[in-house]
Amino acid sequence: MEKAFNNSGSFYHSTEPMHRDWATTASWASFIAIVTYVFLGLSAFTLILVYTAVGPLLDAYNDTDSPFPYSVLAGGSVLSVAVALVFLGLLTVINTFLFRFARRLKMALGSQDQDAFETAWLNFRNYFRWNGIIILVVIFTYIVTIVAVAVALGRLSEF
Amino acid sequence: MEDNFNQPLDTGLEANNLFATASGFRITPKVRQYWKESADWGIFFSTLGFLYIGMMLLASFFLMLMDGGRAVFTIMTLFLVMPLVWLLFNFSRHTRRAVLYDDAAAAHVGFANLRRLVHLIGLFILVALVLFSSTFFLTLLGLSLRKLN
Repeated sequence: MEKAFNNSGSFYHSTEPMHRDWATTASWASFIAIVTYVFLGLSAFTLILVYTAVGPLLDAYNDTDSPFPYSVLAGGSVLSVAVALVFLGLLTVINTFLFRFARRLKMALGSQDQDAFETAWLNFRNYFRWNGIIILVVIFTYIVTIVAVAVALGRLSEF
Repeated sequence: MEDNFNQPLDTGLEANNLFATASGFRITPKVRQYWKESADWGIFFSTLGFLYIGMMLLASFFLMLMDGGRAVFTIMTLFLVMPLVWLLFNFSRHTRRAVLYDDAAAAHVGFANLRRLVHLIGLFILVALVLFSSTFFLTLLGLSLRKLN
């Protein structure tokens, strides 16, 4: 443990320059969060549209004697779409932390609300924490995949 | 302690004695804990960012030997990523210092860096939106002109 967090030093209160920085930060963070919501919504919409409308359309035009009609691939594609939608949902939840941070910080600055101020930074911490966890999971998945591919290639070379 | 900085002789004193007034938010242990954790994660992200930049630089060096065009594109991407990583690193470093050593000046620098970081990301998004929408409308215009002809 590096240091206990008590108010023993001189850093007790926020200052006006900090408030100005936070006001700008809150405005831009709000903008980023809203654009991200729109982007995530459009991504989910496109994903669903492609796999519900375009896929069957392709299947209708597909040669029925083809060994890989759309309906055969549908099992795999449904799974991948489900995974992608879950991932988009997770990103939406994480983005909500950013949105709440911006809103609470604006509220705190507008009405000098100490509770809103603390909640704002709690949301900011959560935003960073969940992004970090997702990045760690992605890195871990990459490492596992690389090791699995290396092992599989090693086994193949034995034959 | 309530200081009155409205006297003519006190002009500019506030800037030198930023933490004398008690009018702002209380920096409670909870808030310090949140800042500290955010800063730790920020250092982790920026370390990954620096690693990414290093690997991209290495890749662009090899690309330059093979294909100059791709190397230029990679370096241009790096010029966009580098300030973001640097600002995130500075925010994390200074905020961490502010929390650990009760350093008010470091807190100021840290939050100024956070403001710049969010501002820059917002500007990048705005530029991307303008580029995408102009491409979209130009394509629509081109298609409609083609139909007319």
